[in-house]
Amino acid sequence: MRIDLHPTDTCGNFKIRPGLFLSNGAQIVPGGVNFTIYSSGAKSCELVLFYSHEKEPFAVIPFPEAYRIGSVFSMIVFDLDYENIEYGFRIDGEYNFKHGETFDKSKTLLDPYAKIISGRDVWGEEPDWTNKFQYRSKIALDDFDWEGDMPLKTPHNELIIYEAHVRGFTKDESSGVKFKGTFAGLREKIPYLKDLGITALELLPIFEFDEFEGSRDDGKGGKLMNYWGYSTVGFFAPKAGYAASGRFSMQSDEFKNLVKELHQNGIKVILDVVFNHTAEGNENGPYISFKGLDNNMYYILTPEGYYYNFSGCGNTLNCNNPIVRNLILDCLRYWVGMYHVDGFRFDLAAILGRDPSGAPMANPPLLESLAFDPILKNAVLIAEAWDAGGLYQVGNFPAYGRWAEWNGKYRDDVRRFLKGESGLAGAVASRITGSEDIYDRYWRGDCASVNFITCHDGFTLYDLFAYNDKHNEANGWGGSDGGNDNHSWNCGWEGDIDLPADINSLRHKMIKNAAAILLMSLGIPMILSGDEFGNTQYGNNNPYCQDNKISWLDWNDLQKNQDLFKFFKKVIALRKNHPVLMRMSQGTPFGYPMISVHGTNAWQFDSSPENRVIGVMFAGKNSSGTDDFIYLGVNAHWESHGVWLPALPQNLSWQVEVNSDLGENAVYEKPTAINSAEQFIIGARSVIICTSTNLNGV
Amino acid sequence: MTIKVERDDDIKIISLDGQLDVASSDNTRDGVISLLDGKPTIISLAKVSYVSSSGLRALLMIAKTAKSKKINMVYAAAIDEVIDVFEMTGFIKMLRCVKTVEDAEKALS
Repeated sequence: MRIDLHPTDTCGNFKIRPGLFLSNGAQIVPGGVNFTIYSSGAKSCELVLFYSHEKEPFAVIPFPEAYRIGSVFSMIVFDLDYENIEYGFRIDGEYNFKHGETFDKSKTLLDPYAKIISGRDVWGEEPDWTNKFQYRSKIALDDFDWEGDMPLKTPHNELIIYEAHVRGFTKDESSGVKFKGTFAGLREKIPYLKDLGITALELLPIFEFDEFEGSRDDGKGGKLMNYWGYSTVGFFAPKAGYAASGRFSMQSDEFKNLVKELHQNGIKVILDVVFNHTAEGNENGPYISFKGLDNNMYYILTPEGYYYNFSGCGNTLNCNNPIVRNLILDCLRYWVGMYHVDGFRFDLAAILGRDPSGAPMANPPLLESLAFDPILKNAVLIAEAWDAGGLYQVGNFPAYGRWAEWNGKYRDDVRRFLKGESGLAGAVASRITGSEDIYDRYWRGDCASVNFITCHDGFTLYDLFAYNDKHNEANGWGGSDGGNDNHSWNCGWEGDIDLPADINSLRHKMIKNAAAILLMSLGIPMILSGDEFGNTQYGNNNPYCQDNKISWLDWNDLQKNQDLFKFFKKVIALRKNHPVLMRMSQGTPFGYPMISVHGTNAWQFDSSPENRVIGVMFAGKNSSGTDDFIYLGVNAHWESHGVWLPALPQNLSWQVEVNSDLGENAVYEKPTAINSAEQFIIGARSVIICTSTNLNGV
Repeated sequence: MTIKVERDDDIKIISLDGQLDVASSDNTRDGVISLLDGKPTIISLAKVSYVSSSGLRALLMIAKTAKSKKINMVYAAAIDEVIDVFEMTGFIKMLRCVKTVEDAEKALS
């Protein structure tokens, strides 16, 4: 045994020694477990050990004064049965609410660096509320057989993001998987994702959270839960309740295997992370970790000691405090280094740029650190560039040439245009061609704009064309929650009851129009899971609390709406087969610009308010280096319009690949040649995609 | 954990009996590895009632050692609960498992 892993002291029956001060949290070392925690305001600290699920500890070991350097306490405890132990810390310090000091040595605190957490091992299993220690740190084995896996190195240009909820994706019976609603269940669906063709899976929060936080009776014998999970309990721990093996504390292995197999299938993993607030809420919320560690360091507080609420969730994490900044960096580095995840989407990221008083900063140290961190160098970093405190930074997010953003303007402009509003043709042409009016390519690169029409937050794509108004009554707030600016259109019939067939057909066409525009736009496309087969949330645009059929994907729709799935698959394949759409084309055909915008006449775009016809041509080279053209024609008008496609070089001609006006036959089995001597008639509210083909078939 | 050699002729059959957890996994790993002598080997898990995280690692290390020694080795007869753990965590893809000892004999022959 190494000298510095040899017991030096005893405490009761335990052999101990000063620990590894630079290793935060709990770490298995030969013969024992190292425990390290820091708290600048602590007078003293105790390690509290429990057998699994026991209410009372079997040991309380005070950190000897000699086991402290600065504000870091570190101790190795030998001969622990580490798989069957849960641990926490008790910290003694001042209580002075006005100064933000809220130490309470009666509380057992979760290790903020806990790598696995028990207490909510099986989703929805009612916890023992009399237990004072609800979220319990556990000790994880970090080793894993990656079989050569690493975060994928494919360029960000190739991203086609698919946003999904781990539980909702396979929880419904219709998913057909064995381990429903879990990481393992998601793994069973990898062949489906591969078949669809997406290249990145973005998961709603998977850090440990409490589905019972704020849970309420739904008035119908069920429960409203914290289903989405935007409220972190532990930043280093995968949610146990999302693991089929969570009851055996194997969530770490289960999630690592999911990542490994996604990578084996060419799919990146992006995590939706929530650093703007924690599950501790405001002054009435529970003590979990930070309130009992250094409350006034971790949270942005008013001069009276109350919690600022820029997140809309009770508190605001003090992201630009150096201690908090390091915690966030440690966390992201851990997920990339130990779990091989490929990137992150930051919830309400504008908060990450606020200073300790809450004011927005020009050069926020946290965002700068993330942009230049060596482990995160190739990680995808995506900001939701606004917060609940009114800070809206789309296009202005401090990006350092590294950050992408959810392009909220893309969503709104495309929705409004598709439903037929006037005055949007110019704006939508900009959205399709990369939103360079918002994201200067020189500074922001090719991948700054994450284009999306739907995401978890709002209507599904089907509902966007099935409901004029949100229907959130089931959320229990009298319909007051959820956004009102949906820019949706029900196609003439609210909802699905007694739905006329022609309205249903129109909805399918509108969905295909949206899919075609999204996948043909420059930037990074993001698809909401289930949209590719017309999944509905019955008009609920904020089902954050609906752990039931409202949120769970109904896979029966995949069979019912094969035309939608086939269409999505086709437009995804078209994107992947035309490098110019990913800005990966090596050169352009002689005499043609890479991007050109057209109207009913080629080369003549009409940006007048009543025009609703846009043609966009992308000209590049295909993978074998030959000239390659792809044309997107959009007619958002309720009448058909003839368009002239731009003339191609002599040896090439246009062929139609998809035409959303053709119902079930919207995807051509075989692309069909266009007569260049005639206008092509784009049907009312329809989209076409054409590609170039060599006349000689060479 | 009890480790027993049930048969040792042209094929070696080793049976494990007990829980494979942090208390037993290191000894089980080392004990089984010391029995790997080049013959085709079946490790029966029929009497293993539970496999923890460290147990999974012990089984994986045994399999990897057998592979490095070019020993034809297979796990057999694990109970459903244990197979579930292999499946949930994905270890099923890294461990060669068959349903019964008879199936294992066929697989090795």
